[in-house]
Amino acid sequence: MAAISLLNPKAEFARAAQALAVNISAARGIQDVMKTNLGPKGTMKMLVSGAGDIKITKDGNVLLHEMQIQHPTASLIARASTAMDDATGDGTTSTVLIIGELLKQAENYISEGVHPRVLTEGMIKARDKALELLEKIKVEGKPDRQRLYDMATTSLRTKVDRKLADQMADICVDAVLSIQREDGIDLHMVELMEMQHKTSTETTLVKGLVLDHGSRHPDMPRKVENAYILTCNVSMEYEKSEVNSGFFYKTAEEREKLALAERDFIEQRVKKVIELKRKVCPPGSGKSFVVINQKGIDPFSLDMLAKEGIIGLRRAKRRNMERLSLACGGSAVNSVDDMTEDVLGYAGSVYEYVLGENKYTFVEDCKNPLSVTILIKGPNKYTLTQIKDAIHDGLRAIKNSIDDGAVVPGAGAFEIFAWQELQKFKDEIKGKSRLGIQAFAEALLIIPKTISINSGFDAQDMIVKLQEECRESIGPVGVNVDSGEVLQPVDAGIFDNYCVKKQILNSCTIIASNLLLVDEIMRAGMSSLKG
Amino acid sequence: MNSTREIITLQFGHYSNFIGSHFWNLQEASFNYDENCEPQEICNDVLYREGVNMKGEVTYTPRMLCVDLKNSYYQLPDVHGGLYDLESSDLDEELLDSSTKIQTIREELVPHNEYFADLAKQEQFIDNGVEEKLNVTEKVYNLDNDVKIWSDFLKARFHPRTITSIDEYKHNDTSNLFNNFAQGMALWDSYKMKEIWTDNLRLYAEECDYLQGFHISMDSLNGFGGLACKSLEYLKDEYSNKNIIAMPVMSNNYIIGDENSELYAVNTSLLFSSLFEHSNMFVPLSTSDGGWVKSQKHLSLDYLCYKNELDYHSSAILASAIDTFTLGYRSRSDCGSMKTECTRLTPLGRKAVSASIQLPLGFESKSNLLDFLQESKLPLWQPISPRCITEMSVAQTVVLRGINEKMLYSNNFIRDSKNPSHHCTSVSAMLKLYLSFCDNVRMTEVYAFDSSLETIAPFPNIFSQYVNQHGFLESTYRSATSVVAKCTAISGLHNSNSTRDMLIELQTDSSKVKCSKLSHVFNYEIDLMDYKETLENLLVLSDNYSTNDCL
Repeated sequence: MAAISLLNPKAEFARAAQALAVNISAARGIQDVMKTNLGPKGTMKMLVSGAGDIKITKDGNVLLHEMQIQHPTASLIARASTAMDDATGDGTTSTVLIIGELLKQAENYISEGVHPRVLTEGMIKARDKALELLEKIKVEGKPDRQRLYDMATTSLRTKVDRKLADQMADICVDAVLSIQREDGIDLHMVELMEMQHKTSTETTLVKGLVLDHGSRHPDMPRKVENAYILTCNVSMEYEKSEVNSGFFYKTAEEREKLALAERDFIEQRVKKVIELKRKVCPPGSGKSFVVINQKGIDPFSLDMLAKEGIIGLRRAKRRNMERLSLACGGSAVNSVDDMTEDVLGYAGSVYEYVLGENKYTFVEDCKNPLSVTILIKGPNKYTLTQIKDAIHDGLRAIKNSIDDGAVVPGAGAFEIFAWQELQKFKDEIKGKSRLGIQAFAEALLIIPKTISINSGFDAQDMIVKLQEECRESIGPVGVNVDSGEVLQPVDAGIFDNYCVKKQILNSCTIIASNLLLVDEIMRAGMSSLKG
Repeated sequence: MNSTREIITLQFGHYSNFIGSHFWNLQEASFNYDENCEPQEICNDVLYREGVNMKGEVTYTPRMLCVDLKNSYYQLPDVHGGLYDLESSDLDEELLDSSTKIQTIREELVPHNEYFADLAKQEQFIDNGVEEKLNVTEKVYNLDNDVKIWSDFLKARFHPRTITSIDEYKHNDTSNLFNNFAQGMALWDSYKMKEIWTDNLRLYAEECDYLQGFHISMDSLNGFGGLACKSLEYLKDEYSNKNIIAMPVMSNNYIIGDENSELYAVNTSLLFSSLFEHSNMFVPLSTSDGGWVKSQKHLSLDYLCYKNELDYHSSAILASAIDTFTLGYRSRSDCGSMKTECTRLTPLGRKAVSASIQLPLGFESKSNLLDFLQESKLPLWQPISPRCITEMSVAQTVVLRGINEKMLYSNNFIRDSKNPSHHCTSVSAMLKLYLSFCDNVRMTEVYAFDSSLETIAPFPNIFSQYVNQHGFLESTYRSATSVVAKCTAISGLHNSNSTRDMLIELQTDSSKVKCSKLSHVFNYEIDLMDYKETLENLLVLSDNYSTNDCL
């Protein structure tokens, strides 16, 4: 009887072996669910909610967010894995698999009487060794375009269709390369714009910006070329004065006059803009003028702008102000007094595209765009979300490999290599903690095993083949998902992120050892402590 | 060019959405699709937007954004969906195209309740061109036991960008509660709120030519207060000089359901203090007298028999009140705006305002307004703000609806030339005259509208047996098979000195909570010092209400 039940007879508890069994079964349960989704040949999952909403995905991160996990241990693992995704953008499924496998391997030893503490010590040693091995196997050097492309395809093929993945990888690489600057990469400068389109599914890269709104005046031009872009954060909207001051007037005309005087304030601002336009675009120069405002522009002001042939866009996204100045040059102004020629940006063409009730404005042909837009077209909501999630991950993968300055050969190559080296390492260690190292080494093999099972091959066969090859060959070897043979991932262009692998090794070991060391699970306590 | 002064509605939290669902149902029930009839007095464009869907059909949906926890609502495809979806046959083609295997995980289907089943049937009949009609408007429904969440009675259809679901917390999840202000504030930083929600808001704002402001309702007892508070800060920043009317709401059901109630007062004080700073006016709403603490006493209206512990019922009353007291600046005749309303009702920084309602008016079917007013006792309404009374007001707005000019005097009425009440030409004039005699509030604005509340299903059937189908009193019972389809109502906003008591009580209730218990509640957004300052601040603000001789 547990001590807690003396204090609180209502408490639920599970002790020692029972507690471990609870944790292990939960970890393996969640592993079973995610197993089939690993690798380029993994299956998709279609989630249908009670009301009939559909979501189709094989991205581990999305799945864990969508599935309702009740079991506390399972949800702990799920949270750890999704946190992993937040940090690096990939590796969710692998994390879940390895944690499950570590516990499974440990279970065998514990049932034979090995103390969990000894096992975890071994695992931690093995992890340190594995991290060393990771340093050894990684392919260093500033990645060129081809390498980045390989990187992106590897990541994307595990998330979407092969055909789609290859196309998207190209776009992602181009996007990241064009926004790359001296001081690093800010992925916010890649705008993802969704368009729900009846017929086509297509993703394109726009070297410039696509805004999700258009002009709100019928007389404004729909398409202009050689355009100066003015980005500003100035209200061009008439608001009644703040204080509750009534007008005192005798006649209707007088009232009209007073109202006009109040409006005049806003009108002056618009006139400033028009003045600038006249200065930079003299008639006949073939140049035109576009105002993109973060604040509102009311119909009167729009009217004044339209008469001058200026396109006026209101309520632009806050982040787009920054993007605009990166894409077109110039800078955003906060006051009409700052408006000079220097703050203007330039775009070769600006045009509007209408789709249903939505208007889009394309700002294209910029001189040196440091901000780009990926335009996603799809027939329905879930396709769009699926593509968007995948692009997010693709961009992250590319950024990671540029930041790391290194990549790791994929297709299970690292796991096989680490297994082999850990076998050697094991012999150098004395005592029972070598069991932990053995468990760790075996657990890593789950990745190549699952990849081959998902591709329809026999796992044991594959592992044996790989182990043989690995012993003989000099370079890393991995699973060929098409033929079931061994391949050279470096030649085949299959790469994983260095930081993702590193993170997986770290977090899996920590979580697995924590779960192993649990000897009592209690559910009790004051409800007030839940907060 | 039309000059509708648009309003964007924002709803945070489950009870707010309960009220919202009733509110939008009420709006939809009052729509008139007859082309030939003269324009209504209420301008729906203020709250609604017109759009075009992918099939080229015109849609008319609320200009509204709501936020709720995961699993707190569902959207039934044959009731709610469809406005912006394409045919589902595309899906099957899509699936056949892709070469990968697909594993399907299906949740249990949500069963339709009686009302939705009838709606779906009706839709089918229309699609198939069958003449047979189901009269949904005249059938008596009893949904009291079926309604668990707000989408259970939501008839109105929304634009796809309307609903934001918070994935971090689940509805009714006892192991991971969303019950404190700081959690809500931290939630603002999530991608869903900071990127998607603000973008959706911007898209609504971009469409508006003359955006005048925001209606924001939020649950004040749980974490949604914090989330709403952060979004208010954002609104102040991005949409400065727009008006914000906030409505913190308190569900009685929520309080009964949880014995651990000390956080409620704390959350509410934090919210109120932030509303003083960021809103132009705020109206706390609750049908029970306690508000943030458990209380037996609750709003009792003479001709309603509702169950206060049912959110479905209490929210219907609050929704009717909101629908009525906002009519002043939603009418077609250009008589008011949010700005004038706010500045008039909130002199000297008294931003907290209480609300009141009487539903239905105890107006007998053959009676007239003059007789009704002469026989009635003051006040005409009951307060629906916790710990508030409506007397001792310095300013008020009263809106009466459902009484038209034909009901001013009785048919065989003899005019007394000296009595001013015998010469009123409009309903509002007579009510104003009456209030100027009986009620000593200095600044009273009165509006009256002919159109009554459309209380057809899914409005709960909570009227007393003596109310007839048109919402007037009858001496005989209404037959069990008929529903109250329309209803008269009076509702008002009052800036009353009693708000001072409310603020002081709130401060006392929250300072009873031991600080040691709170330390784990707060996070980096807010700490104990901030909280203590907040409580001090509430006291300072309550002083605004103490001077009687203001104005």
